[in-house]
Parts: sequence; structure tokens; C-alpha cells
Amino acid sequence: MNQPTTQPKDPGVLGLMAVILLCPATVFMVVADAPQTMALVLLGLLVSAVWRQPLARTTRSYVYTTMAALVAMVGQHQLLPAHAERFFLMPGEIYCPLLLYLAVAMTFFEARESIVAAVVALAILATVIAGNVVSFHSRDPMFLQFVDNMVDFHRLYGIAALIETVAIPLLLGRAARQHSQDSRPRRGRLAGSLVLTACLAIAALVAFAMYSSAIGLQRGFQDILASFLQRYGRQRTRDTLFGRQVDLWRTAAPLSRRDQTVVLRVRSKRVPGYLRGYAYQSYEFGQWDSDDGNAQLLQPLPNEAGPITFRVFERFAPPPPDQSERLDILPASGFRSQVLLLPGDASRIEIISTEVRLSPDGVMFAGSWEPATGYVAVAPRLPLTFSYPGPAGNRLDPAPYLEVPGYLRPALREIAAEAFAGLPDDAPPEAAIAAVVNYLKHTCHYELGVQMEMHGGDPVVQFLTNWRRGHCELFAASAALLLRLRGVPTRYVTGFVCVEQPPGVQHYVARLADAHAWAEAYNDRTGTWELVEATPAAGIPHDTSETTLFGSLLDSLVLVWQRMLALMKRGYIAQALFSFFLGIWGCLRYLFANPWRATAIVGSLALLVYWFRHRRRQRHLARIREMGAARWLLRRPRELLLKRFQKAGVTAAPADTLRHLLARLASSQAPLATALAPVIGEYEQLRYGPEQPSPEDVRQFERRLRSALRGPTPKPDQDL
Amino acid sequence: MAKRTRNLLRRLKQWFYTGPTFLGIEPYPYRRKKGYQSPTVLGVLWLYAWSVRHLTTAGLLFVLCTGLALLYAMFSLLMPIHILAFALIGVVAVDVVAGWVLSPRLRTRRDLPERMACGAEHRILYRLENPSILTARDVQVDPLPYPRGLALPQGRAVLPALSPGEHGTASAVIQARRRGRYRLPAMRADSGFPFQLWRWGRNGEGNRTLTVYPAFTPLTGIDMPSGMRYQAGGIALSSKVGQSMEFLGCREFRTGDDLRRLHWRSWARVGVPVVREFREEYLCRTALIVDTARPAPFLWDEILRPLDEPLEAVVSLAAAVADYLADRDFVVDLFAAGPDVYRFRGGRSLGFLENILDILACVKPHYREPFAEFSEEIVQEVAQISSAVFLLLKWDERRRELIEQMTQAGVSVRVYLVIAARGKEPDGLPGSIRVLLARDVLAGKVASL
Repeated sequence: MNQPTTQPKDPGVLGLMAVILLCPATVFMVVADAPQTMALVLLGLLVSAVWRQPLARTTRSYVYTTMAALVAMVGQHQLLPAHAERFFLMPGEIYCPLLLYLAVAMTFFEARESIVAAVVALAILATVIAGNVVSFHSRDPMFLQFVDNMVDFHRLYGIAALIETVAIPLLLGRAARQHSQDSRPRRGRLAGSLVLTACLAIAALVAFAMYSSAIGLQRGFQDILASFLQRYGRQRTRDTLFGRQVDLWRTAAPLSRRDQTVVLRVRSKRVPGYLRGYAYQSYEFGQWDSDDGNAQLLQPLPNEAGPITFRVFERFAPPPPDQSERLDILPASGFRSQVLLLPGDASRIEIISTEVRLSPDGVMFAGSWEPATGYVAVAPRLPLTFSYPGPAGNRLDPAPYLEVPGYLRPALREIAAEAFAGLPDDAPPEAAIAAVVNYLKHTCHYELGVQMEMHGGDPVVQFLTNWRRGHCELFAASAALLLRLRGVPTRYVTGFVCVEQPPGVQHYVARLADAHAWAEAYNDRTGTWELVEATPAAGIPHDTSETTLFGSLLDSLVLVWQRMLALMKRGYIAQALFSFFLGIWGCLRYLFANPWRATAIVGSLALLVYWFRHRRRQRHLARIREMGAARWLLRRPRELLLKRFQKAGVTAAPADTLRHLLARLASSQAPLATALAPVIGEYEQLRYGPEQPSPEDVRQFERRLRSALRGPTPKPDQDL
Repeated sequence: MAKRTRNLLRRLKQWFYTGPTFLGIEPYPYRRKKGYQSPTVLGVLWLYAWSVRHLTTAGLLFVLCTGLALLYAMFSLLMPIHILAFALIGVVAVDVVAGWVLSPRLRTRRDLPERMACGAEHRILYRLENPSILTARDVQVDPLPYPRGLALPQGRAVLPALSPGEHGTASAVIQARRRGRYRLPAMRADSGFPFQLWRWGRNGEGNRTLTVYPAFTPLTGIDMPSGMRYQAGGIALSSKVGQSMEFLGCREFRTGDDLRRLHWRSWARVGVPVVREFREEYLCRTALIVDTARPAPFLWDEILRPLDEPLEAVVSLAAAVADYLADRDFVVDLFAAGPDVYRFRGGRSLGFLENILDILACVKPHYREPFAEFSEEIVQEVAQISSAVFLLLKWDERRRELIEQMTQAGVSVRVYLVIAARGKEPDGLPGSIRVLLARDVLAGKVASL
């Protein structure tokens, strides 16, 4: 990085760099009312042009120029700040000038490939940031009246982008040829220029073609991105479920193995049933939107003191304790939901959270909470006949729940006439609901993978008129819109249907495949929201479990573990321990209470133990056969010798032979080693000699060894 | 058909797992035990290789910025960023397609020496020929990245145009900054025309390996008592034309003697077969033992691999000693233990200094105890040698024992301990050991030992 440069800067390269940098500077000047930025960029370029000799490429010069750019940016930001109101998402009034000043600083160096590449990249990034504008509202009268609205701004930005894009290849070509080794006059310049111009024209055509189909490209890009994230994202389940919008244009993929992933486990005596997630009011162009802006903050009830860490929140008065049931809801790891999934009739929840908000549609949002700890919902022991109680105290304002987009009304009126044929105008809401459900179940059938046509009109109309087949979202949306047209306030709801109980366990599970959509219609006679299940039976998650016995055992172990952790975090440590032992006891009881099962288990264990013992004995016999029966008896003398070595302070490693130990002993206790040497020699002769010793030989050797080891304790310079 | 498809797939797999050889990167560092190669790592390697092969530096940044702009623009068309993104995409797409259509396939050759000294510069000569009917424009010669120990300080060669049928030459200066044996990237001549973002070209010919010797300052003298010792197998291993074993005398023929050694005149004189008897030559043989023990590098040193001054100094010193001894008809036995154990005998006519330097160019640091790699036989063999020069990087009990063992075997030993400039001498260092500063050795201040 310390190559001296002697050649002055090429004015052509510098000029093209100036063009490339002035484009984003112009856009930024207009967007942020910042002529000061343009002035500084121009000043910097002017100084760079006057300063003909490039700066030396040293670490120091790079640091100084970067510092100069930073100082210029900070100075501008402090003394003459740019307007920041128009920028969207990121503070462009800081980043854009910084990038521009850095690029200007780069022009002071020799135009090598890396420097030119840096200038180009900084200019492109500055242009991107300068175009980070979505509207022209909320600003003072502009300093420079270049543009009045977004259309003008798009035009200005397009011109700047075009100039910049044309100048970049010209700059790169000129900079590359600057270091040419060919001193001959350049040949074929005209042909080269013509080809270059033609290529630029084709590039402009390509860009224009893409610009013409920008909407389709955007949609395709978003689809690809979404599918990519869904397929390769680490938290796969996070983006697959409900959000604040529901897009009916999307194609519901056929069920796969991944859809069997468990997302919720509910421990309760009653069937959890429909667990409500989001509720949606407004519908437009195939999209439902949830309005949770009016969600009210719930005050926690006075709680028990001590180690209990959860708080209790009530959304309406709970039933008496003898008629209520506690549902312990534990989300699976990896599953995140912004809303609390609850039965519509759940009145109270216990959760470790700083705050809980309740929307007018009965959707509950938790503040910062730990999903691993789950939450407990208190609900009536027997599910009520309605889905969700109506507004407490005052009457419902039906207007938001009766909105049907104007463009949909003509098409839906015909269908509604067919669906409600024969139904008197003053028929109760129950009758209208029954009519809609009946109509949809008879005219449409459930099918996954139906793809809506992008130019075929609203998806609900396509579903009701063209396809007549689709997934639950289309059924629910159709029912909601038809009931609204009929004058019944209706909302669209998403959530899970949790009815599956794996065999042999006491809890319920909800899987990805159990995600569902339904509608809720307001019954003004009873003042409650009724559940409208318009999806045919084939599309409603059912209670048949395909889990194997082993799978359900594993699942219950997961639940035990998760619940134990949850209870510990909630403060029920003793309860957690108790439930742990209770779980073990339950397991044992399950295994041994049944005489047949107990017999089978005990028999299996006995067989296993027998098999292990038998194998060990076989190995033992094999070793004896390999070694010889008499040599097998030498194990005992060897152990005696090892004990003696250990007593003398020489510990045997697994790979040490007696000879190794003797050598080590000789260095510390030579007399003892001398005394032991003949015994060890005799042992080696018996153990490794060519002839198999007789058992009597071994026994005699052992006797001799014992008597030798029993001998008087050797003095330091004596023997044994 | 199915068989053909299977064969094709097999070949594709083989090609993939061979790695991008054109880049000069051996795939073996990425190979795990038992022949397993991570496809992810190889995939990343291929991606890198193709990006440096086809994208210029500006092109790489341009494409990255384009991707960023597109990603950002596609979130909302309300922002005008999509106009810029589409324009940039148009430029990249046209550059790739037009470049492929307009780029002629050049014949190229790179002339480069096989060996260089560290710190030296050399001019690489490129020969180019355009056999096609299209003019090659903006030809970038040898654009692939060189290994880190080599540099092209004056940049790559560029030819603005090469007409059909025309021959051209270009050159670039290569500088060897680190010793080592390098595998160079393939020679290529690529055209960046029209927009200088994407390059098309083809591989050429030329040498792909370069050995960079350690730099050393020739020594003016070594204070080493040279002595001759009987070498079993001796002169036969080191004989030149014109050299022979020394005549000792004649004796009676015994069964098994070589008939070619019969002394006919003596036989005629005494009447019984007599043979000539020779004595093995006494050689002046020196062992040069290079220590490579270095502490394991810490995190970023592992990645950045800064210059290890003590090791380089030891290697440089070893080269200087070998150079000095080789000039003086010594037989030099080089022992260097690192991840690989090097053992080489050179000098007289047995080998050339180049061979020793080749080995020293490849010596790597050893992060465990290098002398543990010496087998007992090697130690015994060193003990048979007249003298030994130890070039150590640290002083400890194991080294002390080894040197004492040699001394007791009658080998005259000289020990040199090289320490870093900021390091301090170890305690209890015998007075016979000379301590050298690595920086002094590298600066050529050590002219004699």
C-alpha cells in the first residue's frame, strides 16, 4: 500500500467520476433540500481536479481522507442539517452525504481498479439511499422547486439513474485502458465505440422492459423470496402462520410431512377446540387486514406473592371454579405467535408477561413474554354455544363488520340471492348463517393447491364463480362477505383447531396442518358472536390421530419436560418436582398396572439381562480358550505383583508390562527390583514361554510368590 | 440413456469434488478425514473461483450493489429505486451476453521461472495470439489472483486491442514476498469488453508452480572444528568421477572377494590368488538441524499469517550455512522436522544447493515438539557425523539432552539460538550457545557464525 505514483490524474477519468457522483448528489439535494451537500461535493471534485498529482496509497492517506469525509458529514449535519422527513426506514440524510464524501475522497487517489470500483459502488449506494422516499408529504416549502410530487421525483431519479448507469461503463473502460502497455495508436476505436453504444442502447431497452412490467416482477420477486425464506429459513414455522394480513391470492400448498410439526400442546380435560388467533375486519383486493390499533391494556389482577412470577389478566368475568377448566397451553419450541391463541370462551389467562392488550375483536397480545413458559387459560368446563361473547356494556358498532368493497357488491349480490333464496328478510341471523354454510357446502368443495388467476378478478369472486373449490380461507372469506351483504356483522378469524389427542396421552396437540380460518357472525338477539364454520368436513382438522404409540410417548415426554420447565419458571418448583415424580409414577403405573403389559416388560428386561450375562460369559470363555486354562490362572499372581509395585510407589498404566514396572522400580528402589527380578522372570516364562504350563506349575509359582512377598520388609539396601 | 445420465452425473460429481484447479487452490486443505469433502465448503470455493474468474473488482461490487438495490426496491414500487435497479440489471445482463458473443478466444502463454529468491523481482513475459476473426478488446492478461506470498506490484498487463491474426506480447513484474512453494493460477487472457464488469476468456499455457527460496546472506565463515570420521558406506555415496577409495594393501584371496579386485601381478609373483584391499574414505560430514517449534498462532494470526520472524531467520540461516558448507566440499545432512520430517543429504556430488533450498522453501512451523518426530535411528545417525550445527528456536531440557547426547558421541556441536527481537534469552543458557536476533539475521547483519 505504499506504491509511489508519478503519473498525474487522467482528466477524463476524473470527469466521468464527477458525473457519476453528481447524479446522486442532485437527487439528494432535491429530496433533502440540501444544496450544501451538492456544494461540498462540487468543491471536493474541484479540489481533486486541481490537485493533479494523486495521493500516495498509504494507510495514513486512506485514514486521513476517510476522516476528512467523516468531518465533512458531521459538520454538515451539525451546521446545515438536511431535511430528514422524506426518507423512509433509514436515515438517508446521514448516510447519503457520507457515501458521497467518501467517494469524492477516493478521487484524490490514482484511478486504479480498486479505487474506481469503490467510487462506483459508493455512488450506486448513495443513489439507492437518495431514492429511499415513498411520499412527498409533510415538508416545508422546498428550497429548490425541482419537483412537486412523486411522479416528478421518479422522473428526475430516472434521468439521474440513466446518466449514472451510462457513465459507469465508460469510466471503467477508460480506467482499464489507462494502464495499457500497448503504446501503438489504438485501432478500431470507431467500431469499438459503435458496439459500446449499441450495447448501452440494448441495456436501456432491457431496463425499460423491466420497468414496464415492474408490478409483475415485484410480485414474482416477493413470491420467490417468501418461498425461499419458508424453505431455507432457520425458523421455518415462524413465517408460515398468521400475520396481520391474510392474502387470499396465495396458493395453499398440499399437505406435506412438515405440516405434521406440532406447534401447540394443550393440557386440559376438555377439548380445546377452536383456538382464536387474529380477527380481521376490513377486506380489499383479496386481502384481510386486522385492526388492533384500539387494543386496550389489561390491568393484571392482584397476584399471589412469593415465587410466583406469572400475572393474571381477565378479559371478562370467569365462570365459577367448579364449572371452569384450566387449559395449560404450551407452544412448541420454534413456534412464535404475536397473538395468544385462546379459546373464544376463555375468560382469564395466567402468563409471565409485562403487559397484555385486548383488541375489540377479542384478540390478546402479550408484551415481552417467554413462549417457552406457555400460559394458562381459564375457560368453562363445557364449551359454550357461542364462539365469543359480544361487547360488554355497550352495543356493538356494526359498521366495520358490514363493509363490503363496492367493486365486489354486484358479483356477490347474485351469489347472495342464490344462497339466501327463500329466506325471508326478517329471518334471524342463525338462519342466514345456516343458509350460507349450506350453500357453500353444497356448491363448493375443499381442495388445496388451487391457484388464483392474477387477472381473473377478486379471489373470492373467482372462488365462488369460476373454481368452486379451494381451501378454508376462501370458504371463510366467502361466508363472511356474503353474511355482511345480508346485513349480519361478520369478521374473519384465523387460528388452530386443536382436537387431536395422540393415543395413550392426556393432552391435545395442534399441528401446522391444523391451522384454520373461519368466520364469526354477530347475533344481535343474543349479543354474542357465533362461530361460522363454512368449510366442508374434509377441510376441518379432525380428531383422528395418526401418531404411533412410540410417537405419542415421545410427545408426552416432551410435554412433561416442557411443562416442568414452565412450572419452574412460573414459580411452581415444588409442583414441578411433584409432577415430575408423578410423571414417573404415571409411566410406571402405565407400564405395570396392566398384567399383560407388566409381564411383557419384566420378561423383556429379564431376557435382556440374561443376554448380557450370557455374552459376557462367552467372551470370558473365549479368552480362556485363547490363552489356555493354566495361563488364565496366572491372573492372580500378576495382581499380587501389581499390588506390590503399587505399594512401592510404582503405578501401572494400562499398557505397562511387569518388565516396564521393574525398570521404573529399579531407578527408585534398586534392591527391591533386584529381588523381584527372578520372580518376574519366572512369571514371564510361564506366561509367554513356548510350552503351556500345567495348572500345578502355576499354583506352585503362586505359592512361591506369596512366600516371597510375605518375607521381611526389605531395608533400603537389602532385599524383600 | 439412464446409464449415460448416470455417467454424466458421476463425471459432474468428480469435476465438482476436484475443485477449481484453474485457481491454483488445492482442494486438499478442505478435505476432511476418510476422504470426506464438504460440498458446502467446495460450493463456496467454486463460487469464489467463478466470481474472480469472471467478475472484475468493479463488476463484483457492481453486482453486489445491484442485488442490494433490487432487494430494497422490490419492497415497494413507490420508491424510485427500482428504476436504478433495472438499469443496473440491464447493464450487467447485456455485458454478460455481449461479452460472450464478442469475446475472441486467444492463445496465450506465460513465461515464468521455476525458482525465485524471496524479495526478488522478475518480469513475467506473456505471449498472445488472436486466431479468431474478431478483434479482442480490453484484454486483461493473467487476471486471476496470485497466492498471498507473491505480488504484482505494477499491476496486471492490459492490451487495448488485438486484431485478428495478430501476435502480441505483454509483461508484468512479479515480486516474491514470502518463501514457499506456490501453485499459480492458470494463465488466462480475458476481455472485459464492453462494460468491464464481466470477463470472458480461456485458459492458456505456462508454468503453474513457483518455488521461492528463503533469502539469505552468504556467510564469510563458520567457527566449526571440522573433523573426519569413518562413514560406513561412505565414499560410494559421495563419489565424483575421478574419485576412488584409498588403496590399503594386498592380501590373499578369500571366498567371496570380488574377482575384479584380483591383483594379477602379485598372484603371479607369489603363486596364490591375491586381491587388492581398499579402505573407506573418511569424510567431512556435517548435520544441519533446523528447529521449527513455534507457539500455535492465535485466532487472527491463524487467518492473517503474519511473517514469523524467528522461523524465517532460522530458515535463512540454514540456507546460508548450507551454502557455505556446500562450497567447501562438505557433505551436509539436513534435518528439519515440522508437520513433515525432512531429511536430506547434499554436498560434494550428492546433490546441489538448490535441493536443500527447495526443502527450506517448504519448511513450515511445527506447533508441537518437532524433535519428537526424530526417530531413534536418526539420532543414532547424527551421532555418527563429524559435526552438527543446531539452529534452535527455543532452549529446553529436551534440546539440552539431545545436544549432550551428540557431544558424548564425539560430535563437535555448534548451537545457535534465534530469538525474536523483543524476546529475552532463556535462563540457564550454556555459554557455548550463541544467541542471534531474528531481525539481525533477516537484515543480513550476521555475516559469520
